[in-house]
Amino acid sequence: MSDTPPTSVAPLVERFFRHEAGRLVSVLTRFFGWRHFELVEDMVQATLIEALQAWRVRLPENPSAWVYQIARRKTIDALRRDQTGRRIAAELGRGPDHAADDLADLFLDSEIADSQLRMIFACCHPDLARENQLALTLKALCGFSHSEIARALLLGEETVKKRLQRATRGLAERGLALEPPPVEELLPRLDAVHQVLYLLFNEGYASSSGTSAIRADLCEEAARLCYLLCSHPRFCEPATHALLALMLFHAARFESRTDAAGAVLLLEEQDRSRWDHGLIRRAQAHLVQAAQGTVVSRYHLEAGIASYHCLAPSYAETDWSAILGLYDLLLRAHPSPVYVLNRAVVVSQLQGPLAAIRELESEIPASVRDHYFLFDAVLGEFYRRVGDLTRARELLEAARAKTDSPFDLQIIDRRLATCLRDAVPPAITTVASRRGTHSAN
Amino acid sequence: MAKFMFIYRDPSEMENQLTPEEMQQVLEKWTSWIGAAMQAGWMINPGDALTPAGRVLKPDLVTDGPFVESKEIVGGFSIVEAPSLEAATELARGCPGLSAGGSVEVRALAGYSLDN
Repeated sequence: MSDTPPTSVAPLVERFFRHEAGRLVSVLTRFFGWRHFELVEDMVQATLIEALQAWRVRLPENPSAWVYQIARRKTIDALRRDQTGRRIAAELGRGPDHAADDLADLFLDSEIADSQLRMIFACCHPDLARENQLALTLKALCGFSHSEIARALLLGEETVKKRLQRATRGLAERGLALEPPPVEELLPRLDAVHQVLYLLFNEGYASSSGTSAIRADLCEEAARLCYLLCSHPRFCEPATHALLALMLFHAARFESRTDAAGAVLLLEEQDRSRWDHGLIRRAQAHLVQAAQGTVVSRYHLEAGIASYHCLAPSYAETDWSAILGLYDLLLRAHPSPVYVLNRAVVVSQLQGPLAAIRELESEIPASVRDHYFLFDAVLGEFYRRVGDLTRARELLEAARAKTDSPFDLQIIDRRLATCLRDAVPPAITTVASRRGTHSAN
Repeated sequence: MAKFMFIYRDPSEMENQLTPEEMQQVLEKWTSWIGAAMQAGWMINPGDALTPAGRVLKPDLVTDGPFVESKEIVGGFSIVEAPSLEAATELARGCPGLSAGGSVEVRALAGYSLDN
């Protein structure tokens, strides 16, 4: 018995169990195939519980190796244990002894990464509905529980279960093994992967969804998976680097989005010294790597915009014309009310709020305005700036009615308060000064 | 100072529903409790954990697993030092297993050296 106190071993890395769950699910699904996904999930759970129980009194030097050893033993036991196990072994065409060799290979570091990459492509399989892709990615790669997925994607737990069932059944019915996509399909499949990771990141970053820890985890996970793709040239394109750059630029500002009291801060209010400059440098490096080939993806353009924001010494000194140019390119290739709205903010910087109002009111269709609170909120802010406080208040109240996120309500209420503050004293001063002017005349 | 053994028992259906994130939290609680106890000096050996692999021998029968008939399984043990059984019992109250459906058995050691 060693007398080394447990404090001498480095504490477990953050999210160790979640990430190990993701690795184990990938490796074991590669071994068993999608048909036995339930068995895989049970084995992963049992493996992690056994590790937890063994480590309570002291942590091992190499926790991952320990986990893989338990998983290998459990797999071989499962193939030996009963009729079901033996049937599966026969199906796989591997007896327990061969299985032991296969598993030893699958648990090599390079193969674990490879299994996870295959899993990314499987979770984003084009035959699965987009919402099922998101849920499956969080489950199979990120080790999220049903309730965590529900909280992260703002869904009910039952919905999450159904989506996961549909997704795994979909893959099992196609009799799919966990194979990498064939070379000729790689590009479209990678495109689907980019979209899923982009959505996961946005889901976590979006102000409309609050600031709870699980949302930050979503961003981290999306970036982690994107990084995994970027580290394997076979599975990555310039757009993948652009996407990672985009995520890192945003992540660099994550902490500065709230003040010490937890109040939400907009870009112009943020303390730029709190931005993570290490992340910004990494983002820049990926943006450089993204500048290859001939395809300019939306991720390139969005990352470009984010980089102008991150590199500007202050809000006022931002290179708004460069950003405007990038929004124009984005809108040409990917028309979207979100881009129109963001572009209008840039226009207000360059040409003033009136020009921005004109643009927004002509460009955004009523169907979008009706359920898009941000439209009213931004337009209301423009009206406040031109001094039409009545219209500004109407719009901000309308925005208020269209969202129930505390995060958004906070911003809207702060602007409403500004309207009220501006409204009362200036009205009096205006009247007073007019009187003064009149009497002078 | 007398020596005592803490025997950690877990409910046999233990934690099948724990999510990976919850497992991490459970482990962090244990690590910090054991770490603090070692730091304070009253825990003299964090001990070891027992894995699920095992056999139970009876005169006419050998069964797999240590937990065939019991509601609780021994999951691990540590060695502590305290002036009395009462004092040792007080120390055991901080064990994170207690809030997770487990129990701690506190037993006085007869007093042989553990190194031999």
